[in-house]
Amino acid sequence: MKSKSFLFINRKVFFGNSHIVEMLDVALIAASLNQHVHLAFLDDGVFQLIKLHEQNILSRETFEVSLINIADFNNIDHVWVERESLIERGLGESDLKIPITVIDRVTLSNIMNDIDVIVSV
Amino acid sequence: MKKILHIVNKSPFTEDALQSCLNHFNDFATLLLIENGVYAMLEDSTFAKRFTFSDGERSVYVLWEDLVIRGLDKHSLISNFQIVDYLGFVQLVANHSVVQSWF
Amino acid sequence: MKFAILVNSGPLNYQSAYSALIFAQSAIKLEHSLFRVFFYLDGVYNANRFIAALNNENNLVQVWSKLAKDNKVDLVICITAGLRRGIRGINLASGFRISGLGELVEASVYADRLITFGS
Repeated sequence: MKSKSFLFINRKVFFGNSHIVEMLDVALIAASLNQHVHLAFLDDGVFQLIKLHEQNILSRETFEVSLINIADFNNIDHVWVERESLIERGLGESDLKIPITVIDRVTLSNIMNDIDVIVSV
Repeated sequence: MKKILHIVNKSPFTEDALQSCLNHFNDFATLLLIENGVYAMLEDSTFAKRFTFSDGERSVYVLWEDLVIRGLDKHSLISNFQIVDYLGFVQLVANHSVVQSWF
Repeated sequence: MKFAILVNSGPLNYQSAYSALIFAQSAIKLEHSLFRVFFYLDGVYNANRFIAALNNENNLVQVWSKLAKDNKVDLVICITAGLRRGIRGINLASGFRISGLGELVEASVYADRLITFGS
């Protein structure tokens, strides 16, 4: 299979359903099939990245594992979080549970133009 | 040449999809409003002013079938956008290198 | 031109699955080719053959099946998304098949465009 660049857009926060895990599944499968995989967290999607201090009944263990897999999986080209989305929500880099590259909105907009395939949930 | 086609299907009065799309909109982009996204085209609405693109480079399209089923074809709509039907929608996708759906 | 379509919404909760269907029909009308329609997340509900349309409502499931039959369109539901939502071989509508996420990636790579319909 030839390679294309994929951008996975996460701009919502999910509790009580499996959407975010299912999104990350696609990204991981694409990476395992030698595609160039990029993930972007923006808007409410940045809330997915906040450190949790305790588990609860909507514990998202599977998501936590998936996210760590994404961060550790060296076949993933980039994971980005949008600076303006963090600032608008009163958050900063120290609130994030994984080390992740912060990029400006204008940079992300330019990336969107130059990618082959965009997938959003 | 236009590169990206943004498609928004949510009303701007209840969801942030259109606002976020516009935040990421640049000169290479085209916008198509479908489904409840077409409510953004009501001329006298509070949201209408966001569509007064002045540089002439930005293109906004709205899907005719979704205007009609919502009865908006009989209302005053913002004038500087173009109407496409589903066949035009397909051609818009074909004429851009990538499509991003916002919802 | 070759299109691939990703459907992420069910047939009843939003207009998106309906939009995807009309888009598919329109692409065919314009003699583009449809490489695959992939159903993911709640989109897998589009393949539930036990869905019954009441009164004069459209039954989207049957229209998808007809599209597959008349135009040989490849309709694929994701196996894991289907398992999570109870869509399996036993209730799969005609014209759909069940496969893995790799088929979504493959469709995105081989088609010239991927368009997502969701909510």
